Amino acid sequence: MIAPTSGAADLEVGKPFPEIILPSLDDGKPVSLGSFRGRKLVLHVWASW
Amino acid sequence: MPGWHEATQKHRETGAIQTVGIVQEQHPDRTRLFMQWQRMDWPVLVDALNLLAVEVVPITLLIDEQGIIRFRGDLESLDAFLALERPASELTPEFPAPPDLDQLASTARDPESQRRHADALFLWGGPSNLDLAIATYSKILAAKPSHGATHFRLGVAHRSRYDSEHRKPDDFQRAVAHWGKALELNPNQYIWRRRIQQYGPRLDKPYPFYDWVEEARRDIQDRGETPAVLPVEPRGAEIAHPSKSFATSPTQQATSPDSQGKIYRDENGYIAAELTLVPASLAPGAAGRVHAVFRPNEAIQAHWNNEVDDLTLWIDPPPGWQVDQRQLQVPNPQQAVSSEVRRLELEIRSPDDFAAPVTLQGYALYYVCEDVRGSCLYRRQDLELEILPKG
Repeated sequence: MIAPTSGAADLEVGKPFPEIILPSLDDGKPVSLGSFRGRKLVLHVWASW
Repeated sequence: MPGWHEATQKHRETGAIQTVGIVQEQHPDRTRLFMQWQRMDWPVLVDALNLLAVEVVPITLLIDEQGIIRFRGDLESLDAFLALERPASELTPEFPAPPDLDQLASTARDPESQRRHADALFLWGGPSNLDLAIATYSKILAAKPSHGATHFRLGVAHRSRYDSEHRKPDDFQRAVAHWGKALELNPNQYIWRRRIQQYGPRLDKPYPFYDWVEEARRDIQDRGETPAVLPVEPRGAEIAHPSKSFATSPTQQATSPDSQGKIYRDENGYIAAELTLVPASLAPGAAGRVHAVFRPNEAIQAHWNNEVDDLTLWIDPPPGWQVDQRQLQVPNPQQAVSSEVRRLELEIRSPDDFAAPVTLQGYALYYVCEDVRGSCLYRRQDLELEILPKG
């Protein structure tokens, strides 16, 4: 899980994306962002409003 | 996200890229309806606590095969990203187990590990662990009162408990107060700001947050599909349109329906009423939104009698204060009796010299019955909301 003190500054070009585990919208089960390594990833942070 | 969804579709189909959404919302299930409406099929992860610590949305990160962020950007960077020659490797799917809550609890001695424990309780512990998540965030704040992210997360936890069966009095007001405190500590944090604006006054709104829901449902139904169910229906402030001026309605001049206070009070607590102010404190000349909620007391099987007058809320603003409506009503539904939660919202504006706490007063009138003794009565409930000046 991401350290709670990590800030937006960590999401900078050239830095590794933090290892973070979040619930899936589908079923609430934990998903690790690390499991997407190995292929290019488009990560979109958004809200429906 | 719809733009990115379209732009990446063919590359997803060829396997050149993967796509993931992370949603920053108090009610993430609404995203499900949005995606059904827009026919979007990305995997989406939920970050209601803003563990990512992003200050705005949307943000798109283009991340290479080794997990390094290569672009932070707009749709134009997609081609350059695709052209990057990086060694691809086999995907190694991980199916992490949720953190062990007991182990986190036993090692949570400093604020940092306590926060990890509280986050895990919220994310993985289910509604029954919200009490402990709230207690843990509160403990951290007792030691570190100026940690904005903890105030924000405590607010999220309070609002989540408010929306659950485990709700406690003032949960919503506490949520708004902690979001306000967080924003005071970092006014540039727009994820925090939006969480207040979502429930706040029209003067302070950047846009209507969830006015798309109704259109989405119509379109989905027209396609012959069943719209995704929303556990918490967006209403009032959440679908209200922004306004540039504070408008008062003609009912401003209406007369109090019980000016003498003769109607018997609801001393048996047939109805639990709660007022919440958003934001929690007001600057001079600022608007706030008052949420009034009326819940029939389940313990005595209280319910509304719908064959007589509508539930009426009357507001007596303090001198110098404006209200957009003095008298509000919930129209009775068709059926003779019902026991739904009833909600009303109004907006108030503080005077330009607002500097000391005041009390907004009002009362509600309603017909209510209970099944224990089988009585039906017309009752009044006096309501008060203490309003503090900001800062």
